[in-house]
Amino acid sequence: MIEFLRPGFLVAGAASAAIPLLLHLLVRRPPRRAALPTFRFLRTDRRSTLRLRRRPSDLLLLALRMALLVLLGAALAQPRLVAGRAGVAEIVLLDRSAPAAAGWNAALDHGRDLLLDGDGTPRGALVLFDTAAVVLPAARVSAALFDSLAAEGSGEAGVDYAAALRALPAARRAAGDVDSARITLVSPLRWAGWGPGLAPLRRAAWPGRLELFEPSPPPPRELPAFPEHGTAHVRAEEQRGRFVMAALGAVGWEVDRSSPGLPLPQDRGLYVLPDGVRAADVATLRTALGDGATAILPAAEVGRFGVANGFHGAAERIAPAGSLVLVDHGPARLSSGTGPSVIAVHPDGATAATAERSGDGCVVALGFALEGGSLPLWDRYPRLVERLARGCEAGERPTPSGTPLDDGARAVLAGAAAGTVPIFPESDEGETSPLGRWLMLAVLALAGFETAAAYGRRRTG
Amino acid sequence: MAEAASAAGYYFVIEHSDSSLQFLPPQLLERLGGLEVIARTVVRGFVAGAHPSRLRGAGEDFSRHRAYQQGDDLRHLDWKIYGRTDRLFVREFRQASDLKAFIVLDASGSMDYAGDGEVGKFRYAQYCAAALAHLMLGSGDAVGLAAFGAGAELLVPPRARPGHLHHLLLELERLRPSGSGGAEDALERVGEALRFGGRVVLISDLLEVDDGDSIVATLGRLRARGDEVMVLRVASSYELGEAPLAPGLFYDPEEPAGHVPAAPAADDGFRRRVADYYAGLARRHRERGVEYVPLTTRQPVETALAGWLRARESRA
Repeated sequence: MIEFLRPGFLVAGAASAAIPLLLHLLVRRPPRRAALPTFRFLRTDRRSTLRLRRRPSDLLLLALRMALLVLLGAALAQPRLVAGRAGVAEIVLLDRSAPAAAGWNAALDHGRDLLLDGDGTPRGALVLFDTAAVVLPAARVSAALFDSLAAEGSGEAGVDYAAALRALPAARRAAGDVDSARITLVSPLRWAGWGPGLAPLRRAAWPGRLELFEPSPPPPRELPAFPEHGTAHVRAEEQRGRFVMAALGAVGWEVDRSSPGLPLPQDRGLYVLPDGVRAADVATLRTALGDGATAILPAAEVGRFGVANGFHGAAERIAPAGSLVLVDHGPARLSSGTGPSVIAVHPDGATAATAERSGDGCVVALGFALEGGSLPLWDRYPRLVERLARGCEAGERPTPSGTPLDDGARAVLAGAAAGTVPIFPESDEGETSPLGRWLMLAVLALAGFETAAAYGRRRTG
Repeated sequence: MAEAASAAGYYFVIEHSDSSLQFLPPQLLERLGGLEVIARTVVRGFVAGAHPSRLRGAGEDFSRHRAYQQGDDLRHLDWKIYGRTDRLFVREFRQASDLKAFIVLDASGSMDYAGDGEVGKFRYAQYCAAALAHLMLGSGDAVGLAAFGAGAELLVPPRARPGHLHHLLLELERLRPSGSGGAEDALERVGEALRFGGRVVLISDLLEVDDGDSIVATLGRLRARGDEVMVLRVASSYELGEAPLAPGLFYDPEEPAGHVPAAPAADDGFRRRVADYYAGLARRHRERGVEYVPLTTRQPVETALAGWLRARESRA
């Protein structure tokens, strides 16, 4: 099925195709008048004359011009192939590790509901995983299978979400002769299953959204308790920085501010510089970082202080207001294994803020405008600012393996794209799809034909 | 044979029947240049494609054998007969031709027509006239030119002297089709000019107001008094209905004011009516001993020359 991201262009193209039709009807060539020496032997045929009068001029040119406009509208409407409602397969990633034992029956019931029709017809494939994955094609999914799994119970091995994600390509092929799939991860969602590099693996394994189902509710999470607050300095232009100052003051910091023209004060525990770092500030900041201070900077400025820049590419995206996801526990789990720790992510799992040691201090890199849009109006804004202020401290807290995944990790796993995705997707949104490029080529070819035909008409009169 | 080589030209009899495939299509002739070049090329091709069975001296027709008499030119001895009979015979030839011929060209408005991809009718008629003039002058005939259309005109009197072909072709090139009528008048004047009998070649589309009655009658009179008369009917395949014509408003080129809507390609009777008209004309001409050669502008010009030769043969 073809979907148009900007259908207005398609409508406009179709509507504009009426223009050449009107013009050709208005500028109809009169019937051809021709000399014929054997004229006397002709018989009058008025019907042909009426046909000649009703017919628009230059039917070939008219057809080319109308097709050109319609195709142009279709090409500009950004067409893409999307999954149709029919032919959608379900793929269930079923966690059968030891942590899943508590909710095993509930997990099986949910899997059965997703994969079997009322008459027991399978609707997709099942992937059983713990530290490795087994793909069961649609032909093997049955009520009897679920009954036997219920009888066996869950396993005793640990959990590895990477194993389930790596089995997705095989699961797509095993799902049946369909053109799109919807994937559900049935798991208690524990940190124990998270490994280094899981976030990029997740994005590479499946472009769509993963539905998350936890058979048993997670235990309540404790928010970290931070030590006493100190002094903070905000360097910003006039009218900027006031929301940050208010948030820091609300959570107990003593805050002062200065304009960019003035030198940075020394002996502060926290420096917030949303407008960037001047050359004159570098020495002061390096000294402060050496004394254990924390600096919150735009991601592009972080390189001056010798920390790794591995996340800068992703951290340069500006987040829409209120769409950040804070990582409360185990930020190191969301990193690539080396480099900065992740403090916040975007809903699709892309990094929004990182923290990394610089000497005894901490450099927090922001990939978004700290006071941009309606972000300061977010009810968790003070919590966000405090998390940034304590960026490196939060990364040192121990993470029990049985601890449930926090919101940030869940956001990474789930993703923010469409839930039903073509098994062979055309392209990401924002890029020109191959279908659109072919249509544009067709438009160019038609334009060439139309030009040649019009030129030929002018020559023959 | 030595007597065949003559500076004045050649005379031959065509024996093969269908040589049209080896001749240039009419639409390519224009690329050769002017009428003189075209005429020469056509005639040479025509001659080269022929199978001459007899090649005579210029302007002389073989008449009979007679017994050798002292003083006869030894070049005329027929050695083949001597070889068979041991008796000497010489060939007798008719006198050099003093035949006067007129090519009468229809230059009326109806000749100013060309179908898609075809040579125009009048241009085709000019090719035929030029080629025939070349051929007849080469045979020793005196050839003149007349035309009718806007009026009747004897353009060039019959001559056979060197350089006359060039003069004749110049006049031919100057003609432009226009007007209507004058066919009977032109033929009458030609008949008066050929007081002692000659040859009249009419090249026309025969689309006259009176359905060709006056032409038939006049040519019949000329034939009856002993003239050799030939009609080359020139027509386009489109006006004959042999090629499809798109629907439109059609008018007579000689009377352009009025027009009628028609779809000739869809009219099954159009082709039949035209064919019937020309068939009737052909029958009436042939009944009067007039050689009738139907031509379309897609046929090689050599077809016209072959028709002329057939007429010549029948007279002989």
